[in-house]
Amino acid sequence: MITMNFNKIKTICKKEMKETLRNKMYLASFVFNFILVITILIIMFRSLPSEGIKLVGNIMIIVLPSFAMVIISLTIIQEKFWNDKISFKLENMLTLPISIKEIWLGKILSIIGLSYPYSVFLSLLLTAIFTLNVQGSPSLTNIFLSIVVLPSGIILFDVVSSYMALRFKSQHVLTLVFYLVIGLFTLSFYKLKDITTTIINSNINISMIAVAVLIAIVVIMSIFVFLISQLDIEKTIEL
Amino acid sequence: MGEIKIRLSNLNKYYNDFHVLDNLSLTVEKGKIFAYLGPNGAGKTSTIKLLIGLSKPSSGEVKILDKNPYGKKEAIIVKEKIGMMLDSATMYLDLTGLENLIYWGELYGLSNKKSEKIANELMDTLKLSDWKNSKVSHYSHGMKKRLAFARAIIHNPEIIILDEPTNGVDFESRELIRELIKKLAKEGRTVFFSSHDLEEVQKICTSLAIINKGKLLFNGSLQDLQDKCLEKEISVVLKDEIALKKFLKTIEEKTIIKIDGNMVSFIPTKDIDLNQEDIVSHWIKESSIESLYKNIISSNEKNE
Repeated sequence: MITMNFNKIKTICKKEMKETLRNKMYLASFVFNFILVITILIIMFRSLPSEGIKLVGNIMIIVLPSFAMVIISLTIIQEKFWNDKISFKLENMLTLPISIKEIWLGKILSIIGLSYPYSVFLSLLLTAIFTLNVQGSPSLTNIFLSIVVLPSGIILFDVVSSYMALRFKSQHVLTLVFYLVIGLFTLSFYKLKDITTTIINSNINISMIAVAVLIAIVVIMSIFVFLISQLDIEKTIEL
Repeated sequence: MGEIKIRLSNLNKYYNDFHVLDNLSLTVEKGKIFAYLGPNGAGKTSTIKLLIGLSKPSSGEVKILDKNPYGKKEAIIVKEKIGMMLDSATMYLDLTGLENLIYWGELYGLSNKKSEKIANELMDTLKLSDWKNSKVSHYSHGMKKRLAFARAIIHNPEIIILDEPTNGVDFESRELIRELIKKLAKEGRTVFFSSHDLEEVQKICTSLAIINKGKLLFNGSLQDLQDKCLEKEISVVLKDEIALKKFLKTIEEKTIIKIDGNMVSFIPTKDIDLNQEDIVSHWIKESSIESLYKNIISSNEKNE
């Protein structure tokens, strides 16, 4: 049975979010990210013919918000897990009456709390821009993919990366994971036209997918909570 | 003998092949200020990490309040009753001093209001009130150490474990921390601190242990160590090497502190005739804790 103190997890989550929002570097990364997305949109609207805009626009709505979520998540994971390890903050926290899985959950929830709303905001913004500039709004399926399905994948990426930051001594592991995800995104961008067309033409029960996604997240997070609770503390804080 | 709060029994610790702690055994009673002395690399921090469950012994046992600090359930119970200040005590630089303390208090299970109340009191006691609402990034090293000390005691622990609490700290901060340690011991708390500062040890501790290269060299009260200092150290210069060899036969080898050329320093255990014609000059010196400490460490290194 997994026993945890949810008050302490909430305390950690709140503190992590407060710390991030006060850090000018993080705020700068959010702003930079936003400028990048808008720049891509402007280039797209100026250079593509109208039929192209419709298809590329749909793909952008699905992919761009999650891509932005990855960039932000990875920066924060680096800071909250890896940097805390090398600056001995994690070691200090482990002197408290709190388990490593509670520390991990508090931090990972703060990362999701910071990156996911930004992803949703971008999705809605892109949807609004698309609707205003192109005839017809993006399909509900695309919006659902953008707001629910892909961000779930990013959340799982956050869970795996943070576990690796705790489990392994080398920072290069995180860098490898990051390049793997960038590679997958790039690949999916090329293939997404086919995927999107297939999805648009098929009958998907959105509520079923939503339930499936939620169950998958809960199951996978539970597995990782268990894995983290099995980590050897001495090896985790060793550099 | 008072109630034992900390017990180390036949503790050994290896990091790969390196034998960091060698068959260490000691106890710390309730209400004592226990100093754990040794040079850099002696094994002080390794011992402290074992005490608080950040590390497991290779063999032997650690008990805090009769509990195992790394058993999964017992560790949480132990950590609720101990306050910890590591030498690497790092603060959250983007939070204020007060926020750092409140955060720690909440993680110790205190409510937000109670944490805030105690945090304010501690900041006043440690003369950090003017800096309560400043980010810790603006604090000096001494101020950060004081804040780390406050963080260790915010939840009113039974046992306080400090790893070099006044290391690299200004005089004012050092005095404040020392006064607070004495006050905590008077209240019945047990304080275990590591140091290589003899002046600090002499000022505040009641019992101490000296460790070097993982081995326990001395374990007893400060009074025991001070009693040893009542023994006088005599230095004698002999006229030549033959006279020196003859003189050395008249004294016990274990009392010899050093031999330098034709000079020998020793702590006499019987009457010595200092007026012999072979003795060119002599002088008598009161032992100090510093020289005693140095002798304990250097004797250990010679025997290695």
